[in-house]
Amino acid sequence: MKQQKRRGSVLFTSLILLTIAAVGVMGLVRYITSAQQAAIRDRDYFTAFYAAESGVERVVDYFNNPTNYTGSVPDAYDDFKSHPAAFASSAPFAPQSYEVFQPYVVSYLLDSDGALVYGANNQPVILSETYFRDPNAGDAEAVSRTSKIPTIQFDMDEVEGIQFFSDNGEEVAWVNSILFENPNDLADLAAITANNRLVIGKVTATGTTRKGLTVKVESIITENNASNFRSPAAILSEQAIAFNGQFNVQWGEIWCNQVNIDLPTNWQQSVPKYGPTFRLASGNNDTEDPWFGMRTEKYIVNSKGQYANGITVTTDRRGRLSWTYQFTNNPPLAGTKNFTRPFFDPIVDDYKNFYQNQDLDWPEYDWEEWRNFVKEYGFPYYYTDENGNIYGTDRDPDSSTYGQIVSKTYDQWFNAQDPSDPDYWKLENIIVFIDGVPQNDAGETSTVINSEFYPRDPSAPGTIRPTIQLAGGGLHTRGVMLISPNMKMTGQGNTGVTGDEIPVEAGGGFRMPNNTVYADADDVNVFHNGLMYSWGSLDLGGNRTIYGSVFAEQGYGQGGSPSVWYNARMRDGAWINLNLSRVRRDLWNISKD
Amino acid sequence: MMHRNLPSRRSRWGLSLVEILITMAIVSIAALGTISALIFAIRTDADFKQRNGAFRQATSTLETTKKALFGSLQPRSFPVVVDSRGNLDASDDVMGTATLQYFSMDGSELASLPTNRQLVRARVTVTWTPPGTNSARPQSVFVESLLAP
Repeated sequence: MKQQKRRGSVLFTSLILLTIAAVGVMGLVRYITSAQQAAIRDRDYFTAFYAAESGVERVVDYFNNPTNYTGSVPDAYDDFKSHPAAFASSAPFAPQSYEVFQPYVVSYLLDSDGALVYGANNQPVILSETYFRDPNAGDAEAVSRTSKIPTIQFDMDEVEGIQFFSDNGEEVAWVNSILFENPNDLADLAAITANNRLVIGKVTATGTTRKGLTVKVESIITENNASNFRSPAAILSEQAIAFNGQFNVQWGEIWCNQVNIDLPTNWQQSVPKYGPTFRLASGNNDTEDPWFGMRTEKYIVNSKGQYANGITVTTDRRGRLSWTYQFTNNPPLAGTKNFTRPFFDPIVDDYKNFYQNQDLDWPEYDWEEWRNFVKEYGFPYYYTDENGNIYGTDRDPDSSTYGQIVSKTYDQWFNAQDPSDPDYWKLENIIVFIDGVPQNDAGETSTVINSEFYPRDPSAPGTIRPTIQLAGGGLHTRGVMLISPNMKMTGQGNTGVTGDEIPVEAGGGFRMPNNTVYADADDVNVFHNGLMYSWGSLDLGGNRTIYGSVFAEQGYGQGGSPSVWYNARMRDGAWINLNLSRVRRDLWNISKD
Repeated sequence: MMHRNLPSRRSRWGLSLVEILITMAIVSIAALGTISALIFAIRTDADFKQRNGAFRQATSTLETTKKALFGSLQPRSFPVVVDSRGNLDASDDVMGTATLQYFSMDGSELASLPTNRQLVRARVTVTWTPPGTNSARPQSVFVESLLAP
């Protein structure tokens, strides 16, 4: 019987084994198939995602090239006319550039040629606006950052043109919808506005694939305002700001951090509000500059080392005001906001403008980010050796200067241009970057940059900071000067200048401090129009006039009588146009619809 | 006595020829089917993983392009590694080519990115040839998005 039961057992066993193997293979095939399906879904998802992304990019292009979308430009925000009255200046002229002063608007919508774009009611289209410090409000800073673009539901007929096809002409995905909204009610905008970025709006775009998968992308659109180049004051330093010469400041403030602001002898005349005729002691209050101020996180001291500590105001029998500045041997109370306001402000009938012992909102600069930015965009890039010589690089406009000491006549290598050239005002903003000394990890120096020797971040310990000396005639540049070493300038800064004349573009010409408008550019002159920043110290010999801001981390030298006219647009970086995209994408969210 | 304890001639054989033939036939058919399915699955899986690796390269290149600054966005082709498994094991890697192209909105290919920041179509195509057979045809995947530089 046993033998008979064995008959057919091989077949049976084989079938069992085959069944087990088949089940295993089927499981493997099923696993592979499911993995493939997941991968297909992933690819489908990304295809839909990039279609939705295309909707957002389409909106970015709308702001960069508004005139390409005839009929799409939204109505302008037309109640800005109510603002100038609230910000009336006592000064007899516009304290800022024409564009900023008139409606206190930072950003208009411009076409590709830089011309204003007008909405349906024939008013310029406003992207966003900023109200600068209101002199009427004393110490308060009335700042409003709001988008003025209304909700836009993009025309589907137009959007339907955004389709994506495979090589064989098969439609694989398309943009399904685009909606642009005013985002003022979104709670998550706090992080953006806290970083000083102006919010333009929120885009919601969907993309769909032929398999029916729809992905939604939401993205906040902010102004691409080069905020890394913002400067909150006319003259800044993390160290001392001393004025043995005449350091004139107009339309802006002086900020100091680490040490006291030292007032020179006869400081009332040495720190005029604007123009050479200003004399505080003369009581010529009608020419006060309400935008002027001095702020320090330490104290303001006079030439005797005494602390500014209040003011005494008296009225004589005829009702005329007079005042006495109080300086004490002891500093104002620590830990409290002790302001001393020796300047009379006729607008608010009060004294203002000197602030000490207070926290200041310093701009956050990133040298490494700047370096990468300059290299990426091909702006002039130089470096120095330990003796202060300046070397060209392959980013130099004249590439033959690579590794060679370049001329110190800065008209040549700063891409500067004679301001009498009629096209001077059309000069594009540039960034001149002077990097530090190539050093290796051991601190040894070189005159060439290679994999071993490279300029360090100026804040790194052991960084050698030489002094570069520039001499010669006028330097006429627009944009940003980023300087790692100390810089000393000698010689006459401006040529052909009478007095402190400042080139502020105005309607029909160029506006002067005395409110005269010149039609021709060669009647005006300026040493530098923009931001001048040094990680070291600056010694601005010569009577150089700068429109913009000067920032010297290690303080200032004592040469010359520079005059700085602050450009208020620099408060948030919106002053510079580097041919970047006007807007940029900020926070975003992705979801399946 | 001894002979009675020996199995008969018929019982010693155990299996008939017919049984063996039928078994071999069934086993062969089933095994061939199973092995074919296995080979097909493995080969398809390898192709699929290569396609996935190529797609990852394409999306990565497109993302890099979207994040890149204006000056480094010109059309170009460059070699890429089509990594099937996305790990450090190079045994499954295949060399391929990524091609970045720009097209105007009307579909014409652009030799360079417009300097006036016009909206373009950016397409990244990754091509590769599967290894193993001389007659393998080149494969490709692409990803495309609008780009407002």
